[in-house]
Amino acid sequence: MASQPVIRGLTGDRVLVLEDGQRTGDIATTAPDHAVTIDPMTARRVEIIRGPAGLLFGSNSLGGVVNVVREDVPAERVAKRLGGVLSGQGESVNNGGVAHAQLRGGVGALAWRMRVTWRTAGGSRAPQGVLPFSDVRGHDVGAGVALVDVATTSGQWRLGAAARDVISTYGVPGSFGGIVLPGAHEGGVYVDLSRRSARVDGSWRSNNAEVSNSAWPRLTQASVSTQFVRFEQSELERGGFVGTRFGQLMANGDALVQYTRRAGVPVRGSVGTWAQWRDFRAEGSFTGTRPGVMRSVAGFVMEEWSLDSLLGGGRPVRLQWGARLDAARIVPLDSTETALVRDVRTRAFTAPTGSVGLTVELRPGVTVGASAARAFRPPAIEELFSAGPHLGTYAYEVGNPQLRAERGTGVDLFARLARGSVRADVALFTMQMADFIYQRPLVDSITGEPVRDPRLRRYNVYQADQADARLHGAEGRVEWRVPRARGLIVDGTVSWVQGIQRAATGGTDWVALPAMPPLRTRTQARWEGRQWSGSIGLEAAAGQSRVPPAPFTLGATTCALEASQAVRGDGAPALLPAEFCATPSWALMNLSVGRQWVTGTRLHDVTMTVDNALNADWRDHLWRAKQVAPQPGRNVRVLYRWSW
Amino acid sequence: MPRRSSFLALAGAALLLVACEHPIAVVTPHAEIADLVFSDSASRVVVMRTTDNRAWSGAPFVMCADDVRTLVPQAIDFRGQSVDLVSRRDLEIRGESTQPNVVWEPLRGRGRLLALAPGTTRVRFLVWHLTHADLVSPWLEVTVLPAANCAASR
Repeated sequence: MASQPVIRGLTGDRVLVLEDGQRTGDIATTAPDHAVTIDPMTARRVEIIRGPAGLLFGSNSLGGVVNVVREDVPAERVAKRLGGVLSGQGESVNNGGVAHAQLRGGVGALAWRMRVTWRTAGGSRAPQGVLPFSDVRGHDVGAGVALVDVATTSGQWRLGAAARDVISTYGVPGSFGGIVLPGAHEGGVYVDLSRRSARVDGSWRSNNAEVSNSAWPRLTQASVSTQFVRFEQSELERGGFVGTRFGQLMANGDALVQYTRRAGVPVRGSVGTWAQWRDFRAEGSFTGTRPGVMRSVAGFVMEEWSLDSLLGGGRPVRLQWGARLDAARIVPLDSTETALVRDVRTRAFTAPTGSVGLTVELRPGVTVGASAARAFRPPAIEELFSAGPHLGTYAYEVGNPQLRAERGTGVDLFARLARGSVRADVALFTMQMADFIYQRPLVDSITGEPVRDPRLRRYNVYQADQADARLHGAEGRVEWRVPRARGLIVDGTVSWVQGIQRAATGGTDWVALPAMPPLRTRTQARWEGRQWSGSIGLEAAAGQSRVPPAPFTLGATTCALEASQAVRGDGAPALLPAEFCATPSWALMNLSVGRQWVTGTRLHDVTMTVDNALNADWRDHLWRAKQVAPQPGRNVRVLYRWSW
Repeated sequence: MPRRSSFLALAGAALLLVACEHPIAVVTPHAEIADLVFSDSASRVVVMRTTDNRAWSGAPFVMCADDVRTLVPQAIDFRGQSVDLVSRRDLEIRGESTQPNVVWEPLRGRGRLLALAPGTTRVRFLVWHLTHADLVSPWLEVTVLPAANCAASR
């Protein structure tokens, strides 16, 4: 359900999603129907990390690193003995509601925090009707405690721990208006997931943060973080029958030391190590997915050199570079071969990666820069050893134990303008990926029809495969604080990406990469007053007709069906899978109005937003059910927040 | 007080162990079964079998009311080789029927099909692997004749 971030056309395991700097331990990156177990209501802020700094978190961060900062382990002292936030939100499009409570407090160096979020929503309402099996409910409960800023002669240290429990149940839509997607269950599929995690963080910060004058590094900060996650997900058919069940234990940790030194110029750097153990297992009817254990270890270094003297005039020139060495070993716990997956064996991968970036302030307020990165991604356990139906993706997924590691090279050029009332960014990027891993639908070479699973003959069979790929695109953002109109801000963003891959037939042919976002823009005029605020915005996307050619000549050749055509006695797939279907353009109008006020020491905040105010019929190009189901219609949301 | 501390420590350790247990704790080799073959336990003659697990071969299966047929199931993997259902204690052949007049009773290495009352029903067999089915057969039509009719024909 497109719950995963898509950055520059990359998603899944190519965009690293972190929570307070650590991996989430769920299986969201392995399939589009797997939810990210992070509730946006609980995020304090979201950081997007690109360039050499991304190497501190992983080797596969060509798309970027998304770090959701929740601060489960308190990071700063709390002045009040007890403070908190209570908030509630209701929305019309699905009769949904969210309640969130956060309490925090502290005495001296001891700080604590507790959070509870509860969410429920019914079926999502589109202009043509309610989308079946799109409801969701769940909760997120967590608590953390820490000793913060404990002073010693050399610096200050922090030590804390947190635990969290996330439970969610959500539907995976597969039909609308009487038309059922190929492989989807008419009775619907629900996903039950549970994630329990515990983490311990410790850090030390030197009293002296000045840049060292010595060639020898001087420590400024050190941190250690460890985490344990138990994750379980069941995909339920009608009647609560478990179709597929995934289970995973994950433990990971990292140690990072930050330092300064002088190499003719001031240098700030970080050096560290990271290790992860992941035990992934799957079971269910007809599921032959091999369980496996993946052990990964990495060492990394990143430095920033201040080359201000190069240009003179005190204008900042920064050179960043990073290097990382990763090793991963994947051991199957069951090496039994299946009809479609042979040679199940231990795989090991090792690769160095690196990145270098330069930013130069050409003149006050005008900065230009460039960066280049080399990335590496070993195949996931699921890509190597899957063999079974996946209810949520309407597919029978087959792994490929022969897969090689994916390698990528990316180059970015960017410029930033910050002058007067205008802020603007523009970036151009290109990425070359060798052995890009993707799911290839299998085709019967005799009939030209999709190959269907060997047991039920219900699902299209997809097998993990590799081909070289290229992506390039551009992004831009501009913000203008309108002079003499106090509080009025106009901003806009635009993003465009194109991706191609070498055709599966081989040779020199290149075809469009599936699931590439179309040209997309967002424009907004907003007014921010002392008590009142409001906005009006337009969000639009161009049509996307750059889709790969469908490999089938029979059995599935159309992207649109009337309900009367959809009934096939033998259950054969009739519609083309979403990745082969173009999507028309769309435009949405969004409105919002808010007011905040203070009573005593309490802050009240009310915001009403209207998304898709004109109730437009639109389809998200990346949604796997787009051939049959539209996106949500007009949605009125009211959020009230009370903090003290 | 020490006793209470010990109890709390034990309870804490137990909780930690539960939290650390893998959601899918037991891993046994997956049985990639392609077909099922049932033989008569006495004569060892093949009574029925599936073809590519899409259909049952042979004539409609007919029993007499109050009859018990002891059958020896054989699971054939995707290579065409037999899976040993006696030594694989994690596997069991289960049966489901649409009507209660025919019941499958699984036994170690064999099973009994019980015809309890006249009528027509559909039966399918599952290769049950601890918590889930590694194979679900197509439906098999089973006709149970009244005992009197059978006695006359005998």
